[in-house]
Amino acid sequence: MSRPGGRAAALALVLLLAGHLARAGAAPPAPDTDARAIVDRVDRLLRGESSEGELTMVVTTRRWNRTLTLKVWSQGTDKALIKVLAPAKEAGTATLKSGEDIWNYLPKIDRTIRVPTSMMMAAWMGSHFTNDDLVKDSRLVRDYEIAVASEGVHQSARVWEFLLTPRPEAAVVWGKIVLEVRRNDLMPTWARYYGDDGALKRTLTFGDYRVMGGRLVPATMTVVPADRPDEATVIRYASLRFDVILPPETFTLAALRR
Amino acid sequence: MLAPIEKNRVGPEPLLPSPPLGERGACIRNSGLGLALRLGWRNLWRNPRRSLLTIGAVAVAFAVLILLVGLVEGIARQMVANGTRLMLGHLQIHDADYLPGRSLHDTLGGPEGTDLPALLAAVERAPGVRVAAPRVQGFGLLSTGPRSAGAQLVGLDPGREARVTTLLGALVEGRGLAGASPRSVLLGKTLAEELAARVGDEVAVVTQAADGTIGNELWRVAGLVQTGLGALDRSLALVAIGDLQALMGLAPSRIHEIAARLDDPEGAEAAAATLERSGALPAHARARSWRRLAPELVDYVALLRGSNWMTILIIGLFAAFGVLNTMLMAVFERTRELGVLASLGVRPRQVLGIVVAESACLAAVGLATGLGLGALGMTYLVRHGWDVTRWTEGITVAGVLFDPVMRAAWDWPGTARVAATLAGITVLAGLLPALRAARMKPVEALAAPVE
Amino acid sequence: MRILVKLAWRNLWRHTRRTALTASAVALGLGLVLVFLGLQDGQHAQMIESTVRMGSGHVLLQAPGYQRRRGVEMLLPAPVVAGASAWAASRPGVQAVLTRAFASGLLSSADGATGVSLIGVDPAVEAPVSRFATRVARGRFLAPADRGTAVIGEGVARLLNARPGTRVVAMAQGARGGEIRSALFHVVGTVHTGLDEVDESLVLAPLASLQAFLELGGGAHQVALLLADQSRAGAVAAEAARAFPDLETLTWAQADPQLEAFITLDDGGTYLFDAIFFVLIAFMLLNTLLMSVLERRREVALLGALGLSPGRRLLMVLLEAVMLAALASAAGLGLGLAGHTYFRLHGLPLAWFTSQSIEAAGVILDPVMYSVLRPGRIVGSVALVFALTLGLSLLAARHAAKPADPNLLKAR
Repeated sequence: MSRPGGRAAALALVLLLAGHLARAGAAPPAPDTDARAIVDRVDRLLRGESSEGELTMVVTTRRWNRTLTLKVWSQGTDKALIKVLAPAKEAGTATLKSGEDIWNYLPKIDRTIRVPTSMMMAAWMGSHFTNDDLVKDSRLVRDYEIAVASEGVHQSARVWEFLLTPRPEAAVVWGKIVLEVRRNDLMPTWARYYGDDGALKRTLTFGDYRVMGGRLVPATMTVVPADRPDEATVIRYASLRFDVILPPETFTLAALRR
Repeated sequence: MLAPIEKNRVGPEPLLPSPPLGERGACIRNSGLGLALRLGWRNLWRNPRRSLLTIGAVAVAFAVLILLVGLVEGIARQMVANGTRLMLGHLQIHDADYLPGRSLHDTLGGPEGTDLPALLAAVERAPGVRVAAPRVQGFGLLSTGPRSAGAQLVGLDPGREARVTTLLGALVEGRGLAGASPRSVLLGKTLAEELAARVGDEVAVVTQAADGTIGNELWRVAGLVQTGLGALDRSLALVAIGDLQALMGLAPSRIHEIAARLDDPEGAEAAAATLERSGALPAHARARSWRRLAPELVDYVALLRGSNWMTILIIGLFAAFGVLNTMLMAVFERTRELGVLASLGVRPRQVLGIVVAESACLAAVGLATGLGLGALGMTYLVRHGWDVTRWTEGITVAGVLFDPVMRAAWDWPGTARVAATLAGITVLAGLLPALRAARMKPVEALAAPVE
Repeated sequence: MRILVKLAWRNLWRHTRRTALTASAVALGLGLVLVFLGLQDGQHAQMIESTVRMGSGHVLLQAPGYQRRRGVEMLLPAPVVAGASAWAASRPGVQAVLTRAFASGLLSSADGATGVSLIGVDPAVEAPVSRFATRVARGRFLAPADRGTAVIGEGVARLLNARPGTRVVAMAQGARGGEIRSALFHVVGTVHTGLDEVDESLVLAPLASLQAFLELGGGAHQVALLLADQSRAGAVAAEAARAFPDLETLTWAQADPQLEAFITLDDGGTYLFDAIFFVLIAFMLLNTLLMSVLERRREVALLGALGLSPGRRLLMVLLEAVMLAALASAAGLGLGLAGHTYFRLHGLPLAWFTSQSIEAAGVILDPVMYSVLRPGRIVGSVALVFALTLGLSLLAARHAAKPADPNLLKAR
């Protein structure tokens, strides 16, 4: 019923949508406190940020493949508007997130539908995202204890491995998250999500690092569910701008239909 | 020694009628089965009131048992009918992977689908199958403006479905799907209330299509259905099969399920096996009878029948007790005469035979009368049933709606078994006094006081 | 009068065998009737207790209209809850006062998600009386000190691949403003009721945690009363309705009409069964009584010639019948009570009839039936035996009251 991989994608999506850390040549962090600082910096950078971007999403499943072209606007972690540009059959379909509510607009029937709680775990647009992933805020520092697990080398770059364990009260279902980050430019390389029982549930891979909208970002993210490794959702950013001024009407139900 | 019969005499009559003089000896010597029966029969009517009352008891017991067997059979058949005729059908055919996950991709015959008309015809040719109906099923979100709810989407062929199940007949408002305009939907009554949707309103439906896109459409509420089963009324949305296939991106050759109705539900297992062996089904398809699809129902019917047999046994024992009661009294009050008989040279075996014959006649008349009474009662119950609606609205047992009009059904094997059991018990009951009678010592018997 | 009594008693024992046979037949019938009534009532009581102790109660107090709509915003505010609970605790015969909150939402884990029904309970009061607590399959039930824990149905656990220790997130609409809220729970146990509808949707959590999660402001949706005596439900509900006219007051039967209907139907079946017994007993009694009367026509005529009035002759026959009924009833009571005591202590296993578990009217039947015999049932059945015996003997005694036939007195 639910598509695993969504949550990893959420982390990535939020990181991406809201802009990103990274100045080249950052100093290596001291254990723990600096690890928290890095992630905290990410969090704080996320607030108050706005963004606008175009991307393609390729979903591969056992039964079918799909490629969508999407346009995305976001404001902080609170509001997001996503519109489908292509293929023509689905162009005009839109999703609005505001707080913890989601609405879908379907152009073919010209109707706006509010997604009830019971459908929150359903796949968003057939991808490995769920509606819930769009809705959830990323509060890494608040929800997880962060520690440096190890240091190493990944594809000829020196990396840290952070271990994120959820705090007892945090409303997250993961047993742990392991995040690998490049030391020189603080780019994430991959993130692995584990259940309470220690089993890997999904893997999120980052790549194709380039400067967009004035920042270094991974332009490609891939989500692979652990129980179906032959399936994946791949996101590729074509363009991305940060700190754009977005008028308040951008995130209204009326805006869905335009 | 054997005085002539006096009218108005109170008290036990002599065991043997007074024969013409010359035949006395012959009487005693000629002691075959026929004589025992004739004597037993005559002895029965020496005390008509007592015999009639006992016969009455046996008759009532037997009639009641016939009615019980008939009622339980009728209720069992009604339960099976309700359980299968509402939506299940007597038999279902799916792709082997379809249950229990019900993935929309697991259509009969795989992604290429199947030649539907040919498959339906092949299923209907199987012995015992009357009609088959195709179905497409999915899960989607229905929305009317501000309210939305998840629903179970079922695509039907209205004409065929109406001949297989009573689902479309559960319509309580509006009109049905047959002949309705395209994209009409029937909603479960509780679902409609949750959506605040009325007949004539528009609902948006959204679901995952087979190609991964979001299938969406506007449907118009043509009517509301109320099955009485909360789980169905809260979630059902029924549409024409073509409409659902279009919504879900399935070709017309792709369906998830065939439900079939048989002439006799008891033949479902055999029919399912025949279909699987026949090769008429698409590759990877399975046929299952209602017994395998609704085991709780099977269990409940077994419980009904099992506890009924306990009831039958108890009532039967009771009736037998009555016969024993009567026969013991009959024997004891004729102790003296039995002594006379014994001293005349009648062998114990013959005495046994006479007494057993009496109880056998008792049982026979009782059973015959009971059969007549029972048949009368059954005729009424089969035709009109017993209406307990006043006390019992909407009970479900084992997930099936209980029909408040309990109709009986003839169960010949069961009735025959009951008759045999009751006959056996009553004759056995007569055996005990007969043995007592046969073992009586003539000297003691003759000395016994006349009761 | 005393002479009549003596005569009647002696008459009875002049035909020892006949009296004994008849009395034993009646006794057997009465005994069986009592045993079946006891088992039946016992099973119904079990069904009621089962239902009542799984998220319901003998008497329920709720906001008006809640039973039908079950909106999360239809709250009983904290002061009302406190007042109702205090009132209930002061009533005699109230075994437990349970405060509950309900909501429907989504529960998700790392492996899956499913729609659930959330019930917030006070573990300290609920654990000792709840059927859920006795059906824990894995882990444990909620404990009084728990915060943010959950006990889930086995079906939910299967869908979420959850077990004691798993983190799950619940998502539901809050009571204020209707926006969607989420909260974390730690699974501490799972429950197996055998009812699929329950096992696949049940989530129990501490009331305080649910109140915080849904912003109930210390309020709740239901104050449920568990009574020591089921049959008092109607009376207590009426008292509650008078004490709290602004609230919706329900008995278990009103909250679950299907169960009540099933019990009524089942009772009807038993009464029918008992009626059949009595009809068969009537035949036997009539037999005996008629015989005893008709055989003694001569003797009764003699008594008439000696000066005993028709009325007194009738009385003598009636006295005989009464004594027979008393004997039979005593024996029948003995049999019935013996059977009832056995089934009260050891129960009757349903396994004799079926190997599966049966669901009826939304309740899984307990695998062992225990007998419960109310005094009313005993009195009623014995009264019926007496009435039957007296009625039939009246019928038979029509003959005894006929004017004396002089022919009868002729020597034989």
